[in-house]
Amino acid sequence: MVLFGRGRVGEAVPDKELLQRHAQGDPHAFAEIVTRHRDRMWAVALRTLGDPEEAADALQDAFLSAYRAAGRFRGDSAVTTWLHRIVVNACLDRIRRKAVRPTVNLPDTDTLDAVAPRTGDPTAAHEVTLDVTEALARLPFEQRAALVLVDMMGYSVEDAARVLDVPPGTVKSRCARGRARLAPHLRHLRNRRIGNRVEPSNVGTDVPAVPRQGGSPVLEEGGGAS
Amino acid sequence: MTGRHYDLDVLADLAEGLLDDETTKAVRGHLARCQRCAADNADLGEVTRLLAEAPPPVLPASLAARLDAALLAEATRGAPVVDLASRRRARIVRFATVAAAAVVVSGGGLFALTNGSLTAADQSGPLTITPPAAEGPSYPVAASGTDYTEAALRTFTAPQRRAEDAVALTAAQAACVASLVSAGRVSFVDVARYEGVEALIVVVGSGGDGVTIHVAGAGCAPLAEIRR
Repeated sequence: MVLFGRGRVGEAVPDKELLQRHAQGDPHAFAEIVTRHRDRMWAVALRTLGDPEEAADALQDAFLSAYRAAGRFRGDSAVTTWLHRIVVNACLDRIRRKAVRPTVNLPDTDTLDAVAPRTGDPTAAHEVTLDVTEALARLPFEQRAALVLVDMMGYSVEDAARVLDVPPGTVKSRCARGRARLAPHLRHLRNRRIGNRVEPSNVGTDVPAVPRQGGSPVLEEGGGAS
Repeated sequence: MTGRHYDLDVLADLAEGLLDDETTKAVRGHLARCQRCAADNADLGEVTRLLAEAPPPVLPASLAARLDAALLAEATRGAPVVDLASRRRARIVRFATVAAAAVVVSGGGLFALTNGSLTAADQSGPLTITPPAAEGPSYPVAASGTDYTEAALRTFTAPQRRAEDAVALTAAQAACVASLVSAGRVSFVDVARYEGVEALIVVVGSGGDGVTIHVAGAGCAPLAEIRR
């Protein structure tokens, strides 16, 4: 006899309600929040820090912070925005505290596989991702965090501004600075593809079929006020 | 503008609409005539495209399990969260440990291992033991990593205990067991999985009184309770 179904905390329960239940002592609510969001938070942490060990530590720090701070969540932003902010701050904390070594030289295959999972196209997509990761590591943290949220995770400038707690114009400016710095380092990817794989006229459509995470991301949850 | 061309910062600002109207107009006019700046501008667009197309990293199962364990420890007040220093050294090994979920069975000796499943995890990598709770459990514990199903648990029997299989629960896991079962009647605990997620399998009671198997997942959340 199964007394506790696995769907006891159903998917239909909004994040905010789960967080309230957690704050009121429901022992299962927070686990559900973690399960819902850990994949995206991992992507943010790993891309922002570029180092799987540091990112794993940051992610754990972040979820523990959120666990403890849930009672102080005032509901004036979406839970996802709040969680992203905690993760980004945890990443920044790790950089400040440990002066994370520059990650331009990625150390080993484990690291590479974590940062650039092997997908359907085992060569091109993997290598491109590694080059992107290395190039990102050259950026100052603030530019990297902005580009991770806006260009990589696909959030709007407004959402990213809420996460980073800066005006939208600042996000735009950081993105622009970051792209300008990345462009010279990524130019070769374009040239390589032109040379090896496609006709010049097809450059714009030579996109490896890479699945993105669950459609277009939205930070606002259903029914959530911001 | 450097020499007769605009630098990348200006072009990037143009794309974000950060330039004033006059400059915007001038740069656009220049882009229409200057191949080099147009190429630089295309490179900037390429940056955004490359970033957007990078495949998302996959959360390692070991990290998911570690997060569960850390939150479980946090949930059981006073139980220490694994400290950072030891964590760094033993990370890989510990991942293997916490990746397993726990299964608790009571009624020692009444259960027979159906098909060797409790030792199946031996091939899947090393299992290390995190420091046990201050007062170690008095019941047998395995960390098999077996992925149980409800059906499997219905016919589950406790394994023959082998000395080399002995493992200790973390403080959080022990606290979880204690929260599920009053005391003394736990006959077996397995740090394993249940229907694909990490779980503690806690077997309670003996055949005469009936046997209850508690399955607890992340944060000690009950996943199933099987009586027979």
